[in-house]
Amino acid sequence: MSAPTANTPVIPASATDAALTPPLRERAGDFWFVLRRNPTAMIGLLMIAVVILSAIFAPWIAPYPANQIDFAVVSQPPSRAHLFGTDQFGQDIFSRILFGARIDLLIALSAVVISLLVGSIYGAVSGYVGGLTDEVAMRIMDILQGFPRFIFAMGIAYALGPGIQTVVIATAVLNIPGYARLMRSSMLSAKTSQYAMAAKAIGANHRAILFQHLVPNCLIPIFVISTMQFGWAILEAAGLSFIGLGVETSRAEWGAMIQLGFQDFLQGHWWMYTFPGLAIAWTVLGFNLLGDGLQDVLDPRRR
Amino acid sequence: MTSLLRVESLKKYYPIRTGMFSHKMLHAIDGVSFEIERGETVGLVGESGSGKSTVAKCATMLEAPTAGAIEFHGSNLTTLSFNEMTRARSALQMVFQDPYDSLNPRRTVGQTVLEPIKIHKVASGQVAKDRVAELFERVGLRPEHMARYPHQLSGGQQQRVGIARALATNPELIVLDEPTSALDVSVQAKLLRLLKGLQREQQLTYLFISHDLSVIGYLSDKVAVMYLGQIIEFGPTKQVFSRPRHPYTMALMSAIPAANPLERRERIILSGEIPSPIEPPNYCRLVTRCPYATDECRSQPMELWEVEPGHTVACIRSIRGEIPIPTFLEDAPMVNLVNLDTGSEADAVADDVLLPLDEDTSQNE
Repeated sequence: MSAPTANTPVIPASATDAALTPPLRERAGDFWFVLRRNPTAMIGLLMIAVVILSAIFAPWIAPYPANQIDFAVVSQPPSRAHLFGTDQFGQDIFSRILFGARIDLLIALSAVVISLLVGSIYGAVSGYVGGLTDEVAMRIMDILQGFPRFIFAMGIAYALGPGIQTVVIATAVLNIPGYARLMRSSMLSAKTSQYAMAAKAIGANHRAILFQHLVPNCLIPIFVISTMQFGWAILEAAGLSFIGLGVETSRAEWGAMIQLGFQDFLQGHWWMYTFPGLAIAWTVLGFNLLGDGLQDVLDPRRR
Repeated sequence: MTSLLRVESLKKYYPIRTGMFSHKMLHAIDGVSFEIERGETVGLVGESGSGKSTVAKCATMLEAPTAGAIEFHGSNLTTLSFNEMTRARSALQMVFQDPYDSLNPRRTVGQTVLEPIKIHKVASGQVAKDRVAELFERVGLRPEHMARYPHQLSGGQQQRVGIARALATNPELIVLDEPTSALDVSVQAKLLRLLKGLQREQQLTYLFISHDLSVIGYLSDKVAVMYLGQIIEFGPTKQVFSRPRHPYTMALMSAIPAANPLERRERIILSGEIPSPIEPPNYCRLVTRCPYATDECRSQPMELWEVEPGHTVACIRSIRGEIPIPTFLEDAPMVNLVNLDTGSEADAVADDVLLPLDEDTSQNE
């Protein structure tokens, strides 16, 4: 580097040329640069990429359609023709796992997005307003969290009846308090910052202060948690399907597949539940690793 | 002449919980009155916890005062509606203490300076963007800096952004809450020079808050000394600095290191405990530490008396001439800064602002 001296001619950039924001490509590049050097995050990302790709390309990769019943090959152990074996209806388990990724990712994505939006807006407003409102809002969350998680999900699922929407709603409601609390605590510290006060000083209204200044600064822990929640949402959704309160067993969904396979547990048909179980474990692990890695990447103090 | 800002018996109490259902009041400021005339700088000096920053927050209505009136442009800010207050804010701006914390870390500094221009509809579109660039140049930054995030700038540059934001709406009064205390001395001197220059160019009025007497001495026309939430001495800076009348001010002044090693100066040392600001006494709050305190000091409520035109002091013994008045060299407190105050604004731009542009993006990873 050459140290600038008083004599260094300053080339004045014309005011109109100078941008207010750096190009998006540059910011995305910075993020990718840091992420690439974090092995945990990269392994997680790779594992998730496998799941996402198989979901997208399932019709081309899968050797059989998801719901092709073939009574000639009922309950076959893994073989060259059926990589992960077949179930009681002669459906190819490998193909069903690939197609199942679609449903499971969709459930997890919807559940996470719903709980993230509802939870963080709830928590942000509660923390920002403070006082009695905050007190009441947080006690409501206490009530939600007071029930054992899974029992609570079962209750919702039982009330709504089986189906994909049920799983999404039950999983989402379960996770709202977590986001609300996280957002509220970030908000409590952010609202005492001088930039919040500066926003007030220049005449910004409450909505602008809350959603344009404070919330964007509270999102990093939310993103990290939601990555991990993604994995948990898949686990919870599969759990509900397994006990018969979620997705119907006729659909290619991992939890439902385990439930179907488990009916043949005594016959020793291990492939029916082991492979969907491994798919769940793989995906959950992938999201957890990515979440862990992101925490390091996004938090400048932990870099 | 009417004053631009008139603060009348301003009070701010914070409740402190002492039990499940009981609380006491912390008197952060307790009956502060002062006036600022157009174009002048009033310095507010005091130790930590004396309520300086609370005065700043209340004067700009960032916090609603418990009692008292704030008259700005003839209207009482405490009675304005939210929308009226928003309009008033374009003429009443503030620069904050911590230059980094006062800038939204997720926004580029250009966006930060643009925001007040948009809120108060000073300009829009390309004109607004040009105005941001012009403001950047006025405070000694370059337009390229607009796309930077706060952490990519030095402390001095960050505070220049804070000043640019305050200037964006062409305010009349700027409240500066210890704007230089987080910066090192050489950067501090440059910023103070910038503030002085801006005041001259734009006929700005400053309320300058600092715990640093040399900074106050350099910048202010009048000075108010605060102790435990009250103003105990107020007057023209020269008079207060060279012939302080309140024992607390005397102690403050005598604590400034002399630049001239041959100058003999008597130190006035305060000992004893500072009374708690939670439900403090209504008589003089210095009695526990004042070397001149008598029983009489405890017997009557504190008030300000005029000793010279425009110079008031809250010490009953001092106004009766019972306390010897030390004299200090008029420019004594300013010496520290005056020595640094060499060179032109151009140098400041060269060595403070021109951090290599391409280098510091790699530092923040």
